[in-house]
Amino acid sequence: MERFINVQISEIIKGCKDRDARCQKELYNRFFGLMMSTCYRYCSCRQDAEDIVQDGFIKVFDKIDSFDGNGSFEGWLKRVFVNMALDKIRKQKMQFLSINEGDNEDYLIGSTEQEEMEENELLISIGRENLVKAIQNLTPMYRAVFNLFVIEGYTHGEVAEILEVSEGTSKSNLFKAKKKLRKDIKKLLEAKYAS
Amino acid sequence: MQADKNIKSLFDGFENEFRKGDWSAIESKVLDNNRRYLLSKSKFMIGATFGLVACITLGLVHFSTTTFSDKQQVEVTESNVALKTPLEENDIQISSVSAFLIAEEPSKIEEGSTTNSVLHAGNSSDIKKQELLVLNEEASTPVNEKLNRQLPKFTMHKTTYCIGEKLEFISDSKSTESLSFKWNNKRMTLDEFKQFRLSSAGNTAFQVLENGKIIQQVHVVCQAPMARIGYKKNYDIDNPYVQFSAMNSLNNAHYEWYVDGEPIASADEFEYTFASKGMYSIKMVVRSSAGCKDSSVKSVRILRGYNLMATTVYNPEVGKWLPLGLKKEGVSFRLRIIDQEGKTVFTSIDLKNEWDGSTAENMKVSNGDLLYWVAQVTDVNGKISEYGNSLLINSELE
Repeated sequence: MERFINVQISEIIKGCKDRDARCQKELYNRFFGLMMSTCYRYCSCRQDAEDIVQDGFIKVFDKIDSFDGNGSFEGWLKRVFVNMALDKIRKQKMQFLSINEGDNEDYLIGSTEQEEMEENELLISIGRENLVKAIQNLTPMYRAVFNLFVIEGYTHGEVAEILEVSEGTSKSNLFKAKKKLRKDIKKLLEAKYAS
Repeated sequence: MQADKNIKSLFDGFENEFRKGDWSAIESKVLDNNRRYLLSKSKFMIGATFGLVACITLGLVHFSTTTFSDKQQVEVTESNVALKTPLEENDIQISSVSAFLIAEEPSKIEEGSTTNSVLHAGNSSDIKKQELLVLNEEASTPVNEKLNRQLPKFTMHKTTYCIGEKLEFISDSKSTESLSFKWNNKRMTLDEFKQFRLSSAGNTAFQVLENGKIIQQVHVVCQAPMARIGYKKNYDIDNPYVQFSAMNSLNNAHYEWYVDGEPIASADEFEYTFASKGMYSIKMVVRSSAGCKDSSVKSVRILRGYNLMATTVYNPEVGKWLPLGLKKEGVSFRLRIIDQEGKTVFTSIDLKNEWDGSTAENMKVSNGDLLYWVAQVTDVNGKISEYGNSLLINSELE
């Protein structure tokens, strides 16, 4: 594989379009880490993320002809993997036994300026690794909304469309996700300082 | 929001230090897909070439019919008729000979022997081709059985597998490198066979080839239990429970049920009463008789709203509103109705004091308003539970 070191990504993509197994392996090796990082945020454990990444690469090799070379390949790749992760969440959503969809009491409280400042400080102090852990502790739906809105930068309207929920639900889920994150991060920091 | 921007920047281009991906886990699948893709592409090319050749031939025929005389055309037709009969007889003979060879000398069977005779038949007519195929199939079936008896060069270690499990075999062939395999008309090298994993339930047959000759046919069974959780809710206010069941019960299967990781039951269904509201994870593991297993997890969200049987839509013009579950003697409660700004518009601690749609300022709520209600209920044992939901005002509701 050494001879691939200086090969441009466009050459590797071309090889993948010709179904050259060496190029496919090189593409897999180059992007495995990045795609794992992406999928890891949408899953509750590493095994689930790995399953999505393995299936995702098989799909990418099958559908690579649809990448027309316009725009970033990394962006295209990421979209495929995020969609794979979301498909899994949508399936889980179908399985949700929601005895009552209400419980909007938390949403009524809203986010205050004070809370936002506190949130900011917490995030800076906790670091990325711990934040990923806290995100993984969220329920699948909260996790999806948080990732799509905060990290991927989608609007609530877009998130609602992607996850097939109402815009209000997206907002409410984001609020609750952040509230849970704040609580978990606080706990983590308390444990850290106590030790 | 600044906090959101900070989080986003934390993850921009971030790559976790994951161990290197296991390419071998998907390699066989990728290669299989590549092969299928290239095959379909080559089929298309062959089709296109054939189409081109056919067009040229037709063009030539058209050219000759319009160029040569009537006498020459008659001669051509006669020569076609004369050629047909001897070829038909010859075809039958070839087919019989190849079948005879298979029966007498199994070690000399060439993988292409069937195809060869069919190719001969293809020279004469399609009807003959079909007859020959039938002849060869009849001849080869008992031969394979005979082969399995005489040449136990290759034995499957076990014949029942689970989905995704690698095949295990024992071979007394002197050089395993000379072995190859055929499955679904696809050839596999020994290395590919070692990596091969069954992906669907049912019976599968493999042909084992040594130096290109079929030496054996092996059959394996793939078991694939599917775990699917079904549920039925019971809304009985005194005894609310959920019945969970395996959607696809298998014979002789073993089930394990877990609620939040705690083992709960081992039958194909069970009833569970959730002690308090919250998110629960229900996991079912099903194991087939051969030990193949599958699991499914269902997230269950328990809210106590339904136990109060409160409607979520209300029309103040047709009556008053109070959750049905609160209209029960002996239940003490404190009900609050809150508007979108967080202001309490109504409170009640008496089941006779129902809400008529008025606000604190003695105004009526408007059609389309969305409010929220929260009820603290103290049961006969003194336990306090909190319930809540949204309430939509709809003046068209009858």
